[in-house]
Amino acid sequence: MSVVIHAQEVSKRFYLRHNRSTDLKVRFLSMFHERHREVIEEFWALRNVSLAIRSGEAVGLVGRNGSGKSTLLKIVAGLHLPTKGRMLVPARARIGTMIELGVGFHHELSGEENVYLNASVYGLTRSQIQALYPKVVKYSGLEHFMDTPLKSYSSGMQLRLGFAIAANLDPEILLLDEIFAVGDAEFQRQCFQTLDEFRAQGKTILFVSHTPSAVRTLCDRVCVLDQGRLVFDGTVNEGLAYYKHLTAATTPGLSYHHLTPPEGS
Amino acid sequence: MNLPVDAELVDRAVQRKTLAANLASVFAYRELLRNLVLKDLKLKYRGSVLGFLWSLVNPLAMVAVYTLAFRYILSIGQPGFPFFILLGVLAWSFFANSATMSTGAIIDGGSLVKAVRFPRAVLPLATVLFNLAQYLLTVVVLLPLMFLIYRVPPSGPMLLFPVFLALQVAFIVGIALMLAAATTYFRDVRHFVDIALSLLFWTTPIVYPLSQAPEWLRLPLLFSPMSGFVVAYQRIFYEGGWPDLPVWTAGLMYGLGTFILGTTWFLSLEDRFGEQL
Repeated sequence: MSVVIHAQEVSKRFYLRHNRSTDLKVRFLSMFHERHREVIEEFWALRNVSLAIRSGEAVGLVGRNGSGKSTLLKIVAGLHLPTKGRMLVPARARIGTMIELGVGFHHELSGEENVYLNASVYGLTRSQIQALYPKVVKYSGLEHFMDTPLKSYSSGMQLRLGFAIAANLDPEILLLDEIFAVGDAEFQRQCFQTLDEFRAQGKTILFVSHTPSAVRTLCDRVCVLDQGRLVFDGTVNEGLAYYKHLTAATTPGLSYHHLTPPEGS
Repeated sequence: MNLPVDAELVDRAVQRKTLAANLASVFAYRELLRNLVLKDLKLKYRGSVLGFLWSLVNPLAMVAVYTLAFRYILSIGQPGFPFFILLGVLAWSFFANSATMSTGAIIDGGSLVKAVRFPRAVLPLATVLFNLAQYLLTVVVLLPLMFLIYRVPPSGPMLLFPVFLALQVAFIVGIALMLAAATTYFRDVRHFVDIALSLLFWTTPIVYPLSQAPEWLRLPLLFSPMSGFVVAYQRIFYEGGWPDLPVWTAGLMYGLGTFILGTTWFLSLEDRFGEQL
């Protein structure tokens, strides 16, 4: 199978701005007072990460908080650009992002209006959305509520509607952050059932997760990130064992290793 | 559906961003543009009893106050003064409302910008189109009304309205793109825009005719950003004549120049908005 996501020595630098202020008064004060001065610190969220994902693979991306998982996902999604290295993605593929559900939902609009708005954020045309709409309604089980404003929905219903749209967009590559951790058991069951179908259809999935059981059900390969480095790439069992070892061996929290630039720069 | 085996891979960071390619990608997201404009229009009037009538009350109230102040208190102005003022006030409100709203186009769409990749220009474009829709609705109601009251016969120069409207839209789109991008980096832009607008209102011949200004001041006033458009509308509707060369120059210069500048600048920055918010 061909490679569809190809990270080549990807590094990503963020700036930590201590005391950052665009306020003119503070800027003026900073000329005299050390305490008000802006201190810019480099933060390397990813260092020389190289990774090739083939069509049809389901890859679990695990690591502690701040290990760079979400940053990597966002670079694949095109929301961030790499500071160094290259991220290659298919020129014309529907890359579905489930990083946040129901983006752009507006609580004064009805369920139906929100489906049209949300689906168009992903670049669908009107006829595509019209074809999608009945499927979304059926999947969400919210027929009765589609003409009422979203503010009358419970948070669980909003989540279900958001996922119903995302699940029916038929992406070729699915980038998944741990979005359903907030839903109830039944919602999670529905999510996993859909993701299983995606797997069976041979879609490529990149799944960011903290939950070993979720990774085990969904993935056939695991990559472990630690302090921005790709420290393991292999089978699910070994990967999860590595991750368990990693979390047990070290104390949680961010270390200052982030602040030094990646090797070879 | 699965990817073809020989799917061609690209590096987004080095993809050439031509203006044509970007116009094509905005066009591909036209449904989003349409839905955003409709959302704003629906939300604006939802739950209000008079609805769209409010959009007519605002310019009429401004015209009434300025007429009172200039015609009856300061005793300046000419016959049909309210009609004259209305042309400027409507065109100005389109500009001022777009400029004010566009400062929030990217930063208020934060959750959208952070979670999904789409051409960011859609957001400020939607605010401009929302205001254009309001402008056209008020023009369609109030212009014929004025023609009736002041017995203005239809004339050839009026056919130029779409041309200057297109230039004005190009100008406003350019400004909206610049302001939306700038506010992402400096929140101060909002305050700056408020002050700039209140100054520009008086350097634009809206409540006074350009001909009343002293000779030496006319050309500088005409090259105040919005003047070319406002003077053109006054010329073709109020005076019933063809716009002269300086008016064309101002309109073309600000219309096309700002559009090109705003688009180029916005496109060079838009990939960073997701990180900046």
